Amino acid sequence: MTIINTADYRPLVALAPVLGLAVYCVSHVITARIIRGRSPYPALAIGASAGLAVTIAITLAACSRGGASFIDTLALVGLNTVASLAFAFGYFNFVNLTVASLRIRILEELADAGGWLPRAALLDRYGTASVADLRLERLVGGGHLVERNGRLHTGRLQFLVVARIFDGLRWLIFGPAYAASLRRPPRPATEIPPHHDDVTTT
Amino acid sequence: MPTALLAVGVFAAAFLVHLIWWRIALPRRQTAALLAVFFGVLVAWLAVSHFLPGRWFTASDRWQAIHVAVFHTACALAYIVAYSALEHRSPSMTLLVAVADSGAAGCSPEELRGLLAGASPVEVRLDAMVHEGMVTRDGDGYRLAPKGMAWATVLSNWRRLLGMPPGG
Repeated sequence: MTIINTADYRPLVALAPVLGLAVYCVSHVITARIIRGRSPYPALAIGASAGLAVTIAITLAACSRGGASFIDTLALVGLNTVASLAFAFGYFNFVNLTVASLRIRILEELADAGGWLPRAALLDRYGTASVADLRLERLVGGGHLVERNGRLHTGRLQFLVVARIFDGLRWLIFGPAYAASLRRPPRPATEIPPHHDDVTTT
Repeated sequence: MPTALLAVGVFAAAFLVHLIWWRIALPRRQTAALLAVFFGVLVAWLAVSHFLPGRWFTASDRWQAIHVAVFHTACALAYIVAYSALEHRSPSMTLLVAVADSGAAGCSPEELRGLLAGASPVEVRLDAMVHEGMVTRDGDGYRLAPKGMAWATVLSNWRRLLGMPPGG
C-alpha cells in the first residue's frame, strides 16, 4: 500500500512545520553545548531561525515542484510560517521553564533534599526580597530597566510590549473587571488584616 | 488558499468557543478545559470532514486535513502555553509595568521590592503546585508528589543536556 505518493507535494507542505521543529530542537541542543555557560537565549534564537528557515525552504521547494500558483504558494508559506513560529514559541517556553521558573527550581530543591522540605526553609530560601532582587538584576542586566540617579526607568521595550499585549488579551478573555484587578499592585503584607479572605496573586 | 482559510477558520472557531465559555464562567481546571476546547473542536471538524465530505467548510482530502491539524496543534499549544502567563502576571512583568506606569519619575529598587512584598510569589506558587498535584502539604513542610518528581526529572535532564546552570 502506498502511504505517500512521492509526486504529491502536499505531504511535505503539511509536515514542513513539524520538520522545522525537529531542526529547531537539534540545532538548539548542538548550539547550546557549543556556547555552554553563557546566556541560553542566543542558542534558542539560532535554533528558532534554523527551524523557520527549513520550514519556509521545504514549503517553497514543495510548492515549486508541485506547480502551485503564486497565491497558493504565498498562502501556504504564510500558514507554515505561523505554525513554525507557534511551535518555536512552545519550545522556547519549555526551555525557559528550566531557566526562569521558580516552580521548577522549588521542585528541584525538593528532589535534591530527598523529597521533603519544611515550609519555613522554602520561604526563607526564596524570600520575596531574593525573588525581587533576582528579577531586578535580570531586567537591568538585559537592558529592560535602566538605572539613573538611583531610580529605575524603562529601557528596552520588548518585554514591556509583551506585557501590554497580555493586558489587552486579559481584557478580551476575562473581561474588564478581572483585567483591572490584575493591574492593581498587591497590598503590602503589613496592611493585610490577619483574617483577610482576599487571594492576591502575582 | 483554501487550506489557509480552513486552518484559520477552525482555530478561530475554537477560540470563539473558549471566549464564550470564559465570559460565562471561568472553569476550575482552566488548562484542561483549554485542551478540551481546542482539541475537541479539531476532532469535531475532522469528523465532519470525514462523514460529510464536499462541503465548503470541510477538508477536501487527507493531506489538507493533516495540514490544518498541524497548524491548529501548533497554535493551540502556543496559546495554552501563553495562557498560563495570562492567568497571573509574573513578578518580572509586574516590575516592568510598574516602572512604565511611573512615567518620568521612575521607581526606586525599594519601591519595586515593596510591590512584590504583599504578594509573596513563593507562597502563590507553592499553593498553585499543591493545587496542581506537584507537591503535597506534609506536616509543616511540602513533599514532592510523583507528578512533580516527573517534571523535575525531565527538566533537570534537559537542562543538563544543554549544559545550563540551575534556573529560578
